[in-house]
Amino acid sequence: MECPRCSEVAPVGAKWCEACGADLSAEPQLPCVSCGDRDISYDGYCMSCGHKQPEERDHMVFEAGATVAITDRGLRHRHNEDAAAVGQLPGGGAVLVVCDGVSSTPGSAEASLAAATAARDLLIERLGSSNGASGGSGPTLSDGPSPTGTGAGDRIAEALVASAEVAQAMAAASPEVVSNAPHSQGGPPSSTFVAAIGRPVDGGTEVSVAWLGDSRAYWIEGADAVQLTADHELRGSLTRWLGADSLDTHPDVARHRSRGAGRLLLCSDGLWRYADPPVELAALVGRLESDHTTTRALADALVAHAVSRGGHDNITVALWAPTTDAGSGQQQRTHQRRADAGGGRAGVQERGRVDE
Amino acid sequence: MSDFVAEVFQNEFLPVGAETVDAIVTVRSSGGATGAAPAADVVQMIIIDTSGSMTEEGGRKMRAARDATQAAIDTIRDGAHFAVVGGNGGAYMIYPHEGLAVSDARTRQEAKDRVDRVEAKGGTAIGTWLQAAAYLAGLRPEAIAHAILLTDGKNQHEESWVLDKSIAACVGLFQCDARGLGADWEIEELRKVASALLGTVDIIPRPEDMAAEFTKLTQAAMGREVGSVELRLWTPKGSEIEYVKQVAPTLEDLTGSAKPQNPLTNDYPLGAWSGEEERDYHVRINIPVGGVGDERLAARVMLVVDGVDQPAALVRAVWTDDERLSTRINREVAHYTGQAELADAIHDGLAARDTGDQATATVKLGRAVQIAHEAGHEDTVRLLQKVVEVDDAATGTVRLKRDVDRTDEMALDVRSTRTVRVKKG
Repeated sequence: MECPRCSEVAPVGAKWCEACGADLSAEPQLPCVSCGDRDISYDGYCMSCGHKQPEERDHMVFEAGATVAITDRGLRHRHNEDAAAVGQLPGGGAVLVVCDGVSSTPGSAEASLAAATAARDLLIERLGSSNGASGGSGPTLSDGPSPTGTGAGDRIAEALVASAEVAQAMAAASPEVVSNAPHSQGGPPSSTFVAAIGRPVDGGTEVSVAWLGDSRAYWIEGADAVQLTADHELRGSLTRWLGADSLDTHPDVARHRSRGAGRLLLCSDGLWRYADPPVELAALVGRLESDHTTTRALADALVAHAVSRGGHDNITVALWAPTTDAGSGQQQRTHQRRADAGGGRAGVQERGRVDE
Repeated sequence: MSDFVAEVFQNEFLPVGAETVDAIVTVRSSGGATGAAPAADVVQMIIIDTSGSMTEEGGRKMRAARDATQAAIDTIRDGAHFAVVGGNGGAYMIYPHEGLAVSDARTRQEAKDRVDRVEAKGGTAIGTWLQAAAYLAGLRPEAIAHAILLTDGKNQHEESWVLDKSIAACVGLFQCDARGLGADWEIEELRKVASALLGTVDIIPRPEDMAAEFTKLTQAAMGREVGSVELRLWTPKGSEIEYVKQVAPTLEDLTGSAKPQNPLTNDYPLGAWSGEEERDYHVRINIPVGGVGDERLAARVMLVVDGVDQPAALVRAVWTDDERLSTRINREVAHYTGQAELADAIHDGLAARDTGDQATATVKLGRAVQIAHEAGHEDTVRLLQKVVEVDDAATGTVRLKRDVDRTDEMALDVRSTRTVRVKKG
């Protein structure tokens, strides 16, 4: 190996350069994304071309089982205030959360990530205990052969509402608020919220969602997409959100069942503003899926699409492609969905506040 | 030891394809030595013109020069080193006999007594005077050295290259404030001296104003605590520093004074500083264009204070397709761009007036009145009013005055580079 500082050749595994004393065990610096130079300053600028290196928060990828979430700064905003979290549930279920921090308020990036993570953790804690290891008391998500799973459905709705509460607690308790810093730039940190639980039911899929604000959930099936959420928005302003200054932090909840194969997509407005109404989004997914056959690749392609259209906002995509048939692969599901296209709207949809 | 901070004012958002980045850098020193803290080692030199022309006006000029020099001597604090140099066709020691004196009550009195006996005769050779000061400053290279240079005439008795070479030999050894008495000296000659030696140039229209001016300059010199401050600019590969200008308290182009430290880093000497001071600099850099959403560092601004690096400020470039961001006008940049235009308008207007081009002179001086009025630069408005009749300051409507006192015209010219700072709030 070669010393990065003085180019002296050192034996493999050497901790120090014999010539100049440089620490050779340190993690190698990633090269500049613009010019490839290896000298990056402590504050993240290339010391040759000056290019600001991307921060970890600028582009984050979360994967859990068949679920992928990607959040990206986009082109116009200086920071990524969006966040996401995903998780797996026993029996092929999935947890997806997307939060869109409001960029005009400082600390929203931290608040949105804390909120999304806390919501995901709570949902896994409440709904993830199907196997003996975690006690196994009470009904589980895959509660036997019950045709409708009503008991599980209520429990999911309650858990989703609770996840919004814990998300609100995190958003309102972010360090910006605790430190009582002056919020000269438009109030305390705030964020939208959308969380979804997807699970296989009777050879189909059931999706439950809870949301605050204008981040959305869709069920996409062939050329069709169903928007599962209704924006909390009035004349361009949010009417519900997470945050210390929010007047209404009670989520709306909806449930959707589908017999066909499809995909659950959660996203911030950084994506859907480039693919609205839902049929546009379905068409976009349809165009992209042939070249992007994995869920990860498709999520990347959706983010790239929003960037190519201008990337005017942060972009977050959370995607779950349920395996409807145990043991069936990606390829097979694709064929299934195509066969079902058009006839796959056998779902029922309920929407409304659950506990009023 | 005072603390130095640099603060950057700019609109970092550039439209797609733009390569020019403008920023105002405010450098501030604070928390200087007070009371018991040891005073900095300073050298004060007073160089007075004792040429034959100083006997004019019935000896009034020479009497004023003696009074002013004695007032300056009284301002030199105990323990400081000092010397008084007489200038004519050569340079000679007025006090002490050779080298530098250490200031105390006795040496100050001796110096004043010698100044009383100075006679005016002979020519004017400013370069030679500066060489004498360079020799004296060189005796205490670690000290903060400062000279006051007074002349009432043109540099007639040496070639201009002697002056240029002499100035170059003084750079880094001492700072020099140059003052011209009356109307018979050459602005460009003294401006050259002051610019290179990081000082100021001004006119003393009447001999009786001289003592106050000398006292003020000496007080400022006694307050200097930090001998050498440098503005260090790192700029990215492929970039070009178009200019670095001091823009407050006066306009001074520093671009040519760059001392390269490595291919991407240049130092610009800012001279000596007092413990409580603020100056502004305008930096313009051309950098390779980035893509939409890219951020690039256009400059890392550091201060080198007596050889020690101080924390940096950043000049950034962010390319955006959002015109609301890229068309924002930065107040500080706009203000100082206007102040530079004001100085140019005065300079060009007076030059046109000298060559008899009344139309250009009227337009330029009118524009100067307009900018000075808008910026609230009252001192400059007053100076302009001695050269033009102002009909409407807001629109810059003026008429050239027929009979203008030469010293008023020179005052306007020499003070055109004084700026006002951005109004806060």
